[in-house]
Amino acid sequence: MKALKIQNVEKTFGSIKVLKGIDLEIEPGQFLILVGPSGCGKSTLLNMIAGLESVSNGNITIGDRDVTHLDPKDRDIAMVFQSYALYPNMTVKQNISFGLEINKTPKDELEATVAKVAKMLQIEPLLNRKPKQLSGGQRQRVAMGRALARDPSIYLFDEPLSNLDAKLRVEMRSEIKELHQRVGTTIVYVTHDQIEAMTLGDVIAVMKDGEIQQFGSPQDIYDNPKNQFVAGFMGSPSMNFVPCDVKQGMNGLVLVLESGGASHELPVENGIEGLSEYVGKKVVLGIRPEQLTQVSEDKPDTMTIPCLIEIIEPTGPDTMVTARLNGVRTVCRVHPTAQSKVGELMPLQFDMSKAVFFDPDTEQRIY
Amino acid sequence: MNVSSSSRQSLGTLLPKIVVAPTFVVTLVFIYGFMLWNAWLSFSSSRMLPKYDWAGFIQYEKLFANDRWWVAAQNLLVFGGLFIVICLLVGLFLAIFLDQKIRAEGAIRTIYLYPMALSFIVTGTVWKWILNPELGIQRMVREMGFESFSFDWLVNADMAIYTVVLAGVWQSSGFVMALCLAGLRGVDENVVKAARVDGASMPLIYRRIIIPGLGPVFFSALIVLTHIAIKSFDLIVALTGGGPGYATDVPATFMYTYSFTRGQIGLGSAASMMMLMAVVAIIVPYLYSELRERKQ
Ligand SMILES: Nc1ncnc2c1ncn2[C@@H]1O[C@H](COP(=O)(O)OP(=O)(O)OP(=O)(O)O)[C@@H](O)[C@H]1O
Ligand SMILES: [Mg+2]
Repeated sequence: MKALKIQNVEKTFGSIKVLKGIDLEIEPGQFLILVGPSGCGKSTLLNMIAGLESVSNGNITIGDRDVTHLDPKDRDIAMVFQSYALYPNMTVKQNISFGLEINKTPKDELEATVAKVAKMLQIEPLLNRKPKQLSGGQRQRVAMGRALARDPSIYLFDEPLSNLDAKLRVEMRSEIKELHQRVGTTIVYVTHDQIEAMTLGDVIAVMKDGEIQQFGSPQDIYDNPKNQFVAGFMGSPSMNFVPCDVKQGMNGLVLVLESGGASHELPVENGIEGLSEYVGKKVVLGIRPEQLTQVSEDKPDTMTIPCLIEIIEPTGPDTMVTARLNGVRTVCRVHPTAQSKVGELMPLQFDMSKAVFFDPDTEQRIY
Repeated sequence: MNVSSSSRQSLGTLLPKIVVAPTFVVTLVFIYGFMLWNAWLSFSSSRMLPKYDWAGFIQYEKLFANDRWWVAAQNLLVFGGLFIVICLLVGLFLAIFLDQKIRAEGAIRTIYLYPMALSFIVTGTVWKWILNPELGIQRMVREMGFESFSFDWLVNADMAIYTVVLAGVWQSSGFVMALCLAGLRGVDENVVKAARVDGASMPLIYRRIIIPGLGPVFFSALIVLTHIAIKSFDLIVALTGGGPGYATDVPATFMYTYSFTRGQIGLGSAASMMMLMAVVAIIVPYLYSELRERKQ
């Protein structure tokens, strides 16, 4: 049995198709992330799972029940909203217990649940306050408490952290992760923040324009993006995309790289057979900043190319230096002690073992 | 230099005072001055013309011994109570109805709000025609063949006050609707979604979440409707003229009748003092709570 199964789900508003056939399945207890740029249809999909938005086409199954046409109250779900959506005229306690009260939970059980949830989220001192008298972080906790009290089969989160400041966001992120590990209930979590997606998710669905671009584990999506959009969306700073000519070299294929006024030939790791069809044509080399580093002796399967440094941005543990390769700005992650000066040539080491290649026209990965 | 700049400065600070002064004087004389004058008259023995003697509480004693005054006071309670409650209910109901994302909402809203633009005189006259048994509904239904149909509230001493309620509600509930609709539009739609996910039905969501949030709206509407009710004069004059007999008299028409047509200025003044007391009893706590909130 799957916890949630979405089959060929579509959504049209008027004449606009906002979701174009979504398919996905998750196991019980999994933490699913829906991630994608603004307007790609994440909230719409989540609202359809919740039953707040009608389904134009397709099926949604929760557990072994087809819920496609059920009311939200019959779906056994709980939801946390981006704006928290607390009931303004009720106290924190009433907010948390409202759902239980409607389900005619016995009074003592209701009290016990509220107490348990309040303890778990450390909001006991706030129980008699109104939402107006709470800070953003406290409201966020109450919103989660309201969902937790319900004990549903799936939790739905719509960007719950995006209204918090940076520090609180990081704290709440780990609290949500810890909560999931403790409670073990299936979660569907919408975000447009790829760091939240990577850190929280068991599985990630990367969406764009109403379609799922890739569905997989965070590491798989990071290491093996299916196309240039996914590669660029996941990871921060994002992957560099350098258009290069492919040539037949002496020991296999090479990419031609123009850097610091000179032309270099970068050998391609073997094993990417699709690349041989591109000899004499252009491909897009996708290489993450951490694969472009200062020269260190202990990495034999690499190639060193001198690059002209244009920008230097220290972040603390690493320094991001921007060089220009084939006319494209390329971010490299170097050790702070190794950084050189703007306008100087710096030898950079290319680790091609994890480099990926894309077709410049279709933007699809070349395998 | 110094002299001219300081005189210009004093002109600058004086000018607002000079501009406001006439209004201030007019308010002082024509509102507070006349209030005091009226208070004095109510303690005098004035009849046809004002007399400036001291007669103690004689006029108030006469007032409280007057049956017609008690009819007027009771009518005010009946009319005011029903008018306010029904206006609030009808206004709220219309607003909820309009909030269901129905088509042609703008047109419907205008239709309900339109009576607000009429004066009570017009409303009263129109409803007088509609409710007149010889001209309006009763005649229409009888002409349709229901010969025994009777609808004579307007000329029935026991029921006439309810026709005033009907016309007043017709005129003012659109205003309550507009206030409530603005309040409903201010409700965060995600709160409604959250309640639906929590398992609440739409009626329950209105009852437990949306309507309790409209408290301040109801309060404003209540204050406005209450003072409309206490001051209501033109509607009654136009609709029933206080009749049949004096069955639909309210304090305002009572005061007018005694002061200006029956030559009992002292008694009329005492009646107006009673109305002033009623308004003060409502407005003062309101202002007090408002000002205290402002200070916090
Ligand atoms: N009620 C509606 N009527 C018409 N179009 C809508 C409606 N709701 C959403 N859309 C459109 O559907 C698309 C997806 O909206 P959705 O809210 O799901 O985006 P999202 O991925 O959640 O974005 P964000 O990250 O900004 O929240 C958008 O292009 C939006 O304009
Ligand atoms: Mg959204």
